[in-house]
Amino acid sequence: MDWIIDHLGVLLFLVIAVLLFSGLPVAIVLGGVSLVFGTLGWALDVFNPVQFYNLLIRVWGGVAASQVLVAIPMFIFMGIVLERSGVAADLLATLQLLTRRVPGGLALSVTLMGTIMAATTGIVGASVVMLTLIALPPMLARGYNIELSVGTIAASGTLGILIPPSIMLVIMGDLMAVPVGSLFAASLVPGLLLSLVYLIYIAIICRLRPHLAPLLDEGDHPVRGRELLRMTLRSFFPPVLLVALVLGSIFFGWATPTEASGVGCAGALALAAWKGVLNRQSLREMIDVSAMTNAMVFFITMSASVFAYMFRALGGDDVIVDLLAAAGIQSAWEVMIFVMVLVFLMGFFFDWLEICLIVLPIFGPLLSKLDFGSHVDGANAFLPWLLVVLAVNLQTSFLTPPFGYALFFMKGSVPPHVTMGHMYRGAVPFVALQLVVLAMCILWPELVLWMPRRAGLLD
Amino acid sequence: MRFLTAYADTVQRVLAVIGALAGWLFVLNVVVICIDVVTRKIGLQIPGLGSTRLQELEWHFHMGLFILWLGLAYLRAGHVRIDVAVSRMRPRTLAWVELVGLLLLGIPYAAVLVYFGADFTWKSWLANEGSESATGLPWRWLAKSVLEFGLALLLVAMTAMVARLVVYLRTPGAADAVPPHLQRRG
Repeated sequence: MDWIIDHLGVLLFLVIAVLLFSGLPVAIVLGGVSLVFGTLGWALDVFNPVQFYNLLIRVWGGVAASQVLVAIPMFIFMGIVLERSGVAADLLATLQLLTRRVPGGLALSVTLMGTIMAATTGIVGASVVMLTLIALPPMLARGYNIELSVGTIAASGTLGILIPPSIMLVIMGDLMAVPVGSLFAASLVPGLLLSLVYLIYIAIICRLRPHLAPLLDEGDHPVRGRELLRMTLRSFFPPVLLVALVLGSIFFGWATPTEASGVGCAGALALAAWKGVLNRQSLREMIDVSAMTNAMVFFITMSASVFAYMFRALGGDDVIVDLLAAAGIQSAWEVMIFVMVLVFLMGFFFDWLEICLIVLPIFGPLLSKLDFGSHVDGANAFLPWLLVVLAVNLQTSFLTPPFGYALFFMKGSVPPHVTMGHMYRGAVPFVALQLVVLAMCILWPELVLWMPRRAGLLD
Repeated sequence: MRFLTAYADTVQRVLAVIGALAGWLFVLNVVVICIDVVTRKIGLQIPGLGSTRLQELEWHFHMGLFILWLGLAYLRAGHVRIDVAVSRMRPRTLAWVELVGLLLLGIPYAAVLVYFGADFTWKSWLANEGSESATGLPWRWLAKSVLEFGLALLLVAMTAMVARLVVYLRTPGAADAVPPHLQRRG
C-alpha cells in the first residue's frame, strides 16, 4: 500500500500513457485520469479534494489569463487565412516557374514554400496534409520520382514546427518561462540551415540523377519575361514580405510576439481581400476551421495543466528524480540524452503538443537546473539552446520510419499507388540530414544562440 | 430513442450558434491588437481604453474563443485522438470505448471543473472582482462567468455524445445515428 501511495504520480503517468492509445480524445484522457487519481489519493488520504479548486486557478491563470498565449489563436488564424485564400498554392506555382530550368526545380520550390509558409503551419498533421495536397499532384504529374517527392514534402512540412513563428515555441516558452522572442530567434538559424541542407541535397541528387526530376517542357509554359515578373510580384513578394515583417518586428524588438501575430493576421486578411477571395462565406469558413484547431490546442493545454498539477500534488516530481538517480542518470548530459530519447520515441505516436505538454511539466524543473558548465555560455542562454535542440530532435522523430508521425498523416492523403514503402525510403535521406544538423546544434551551441545574442534577446 | 436524438441535435444546434458568434472574437482580437499597437506607436490614447485595458481585453477574448468552442469541437470530432492502436476496430467497439470513456473519465472531469468553477466565479462576483491593475478592466467576474459557461457547455456536449452513442448502439444499421468521430473511419 505504501508503495502505491509513494508512486501515485508515476502510476498516473503510466496509466495515461496506456489509455492515450484507447482512441479517446487526448484531452479527456489527460484530465479524466488525473481526476480519478485525485480521487484515489483522497481515498488513500494523501490528497484533499478541496485542492481540486486549485485546478480552476491554474486553468484561469495559466491558460486563460495569459498575454503570451494570445499569439496562438492569432498565428493559427493567420495560417488558415493564408492557406484558404490560395496564397500557398500561388506561391508554389510561381516558384515552380522561376525554377523551371533548374534540375529538381519543383522539389526545390516545395522546400522553399515549406520554409516561407512555415508561418501557416502549426500542427504537424495539418501542415503535412496541406503540403501533400498542394504539392504532390504537380510533382507526380511532372514524372518526379515518388520517393524524392514524398521525402521532400514530409521534410518541408515538418519544418513548420521549427521555423518561427511557430506555435510550438510559444507553448515551450510559456511552459519553461523563456521569452518567446528569444526562442523564435534561437530557432531561426537551425531552421534555415535545415532548409538549406535539404535544398543542397535535392540540387545535387537531381543533377547526378536527372531521371528523378524531369525538367519542365518549355512548350507547356509560355510564361516568361514581363508576365513572369508580374506573377512574381503578385504571388511571391506579398507572403514573403508579410512573414518577414512579422518576424522582423519581433527580432528588432518593435513588437511582442502577440502584437506581431495580430498585425500579421490583419496583413493576411488584407492579402486575402486584395486577391478577391475574402467574402462572408470564406471568412466564416476560415473562422470555423481556426476555432476548431484553437479549441483542440487549448483543450489539451488545459487538461495537461490539470495533469501537471495532479502529478506534482501526488509527489511524482520527487519520484522521477529518484528513479533517474537509481538508473544512474545524473549528469546534465545524461539527463539531456535521456529526455531526448524519450521525446524521440514519443514523436512516433504523438504530435508535439502532447509531447511538450506531458514531458516538459514532468522534466521541466529538472531540465532548468541542469549545468552544462562552459559548453553553453551565459545563464540565460542555456534553456533556449536546450529547447531548440529538443525541437529539432522532435522534428526528426516525426520523419523517422517506421513510425514517423508525419508519414502516417501523409499516408491518408496520397494516391493509392504511393505506398508506405515509398515514404519510408523517401524519408531516409532527409532523416540523415536532420541528424547531421541536430548533432551540429548540440556540439556548437553558438549556432543556435548567435541570432538571439545579435538581437540582444539573451542579455 | 427519438428523444435522445432530438436532445443531441438540439445541443449541437445551440452550440453551433454560440460557436458561430464566438468565432468573431478572432476578428475582434485582430482589431484590438492593431488598435493597441497603433495607439501606442503614435502615443495617442483612446479615453477609457488604455494599453493595459486593451491587452486585458485581448486575453479575455482569447479565453472566450477557446472555452466556448470546447464542446462544439468535441461534437464535431475536432479533438485529437491517438488512433494507431484502434483504427482497425469495429465502429461498434469504438462506440463502446467512447461511451465508457465518457462515463468514467470525460463527464466526471467536466463535472468537477463545472462544480469548482461555480465556486470560483461566485467568489469573484461576491468580491466584485476587477483587474489586479488599477488601470485594467472592471468586472472580472463577468469573464469568469464566461469560463464557467464554456465548461458547462463542454459538459452538456459530452451528455449529447452519450445520447448519440446510446442511440447508435441500440439501433444497428442506422447510418444517420453514427457519431462523427466514428464516421471518418468509413
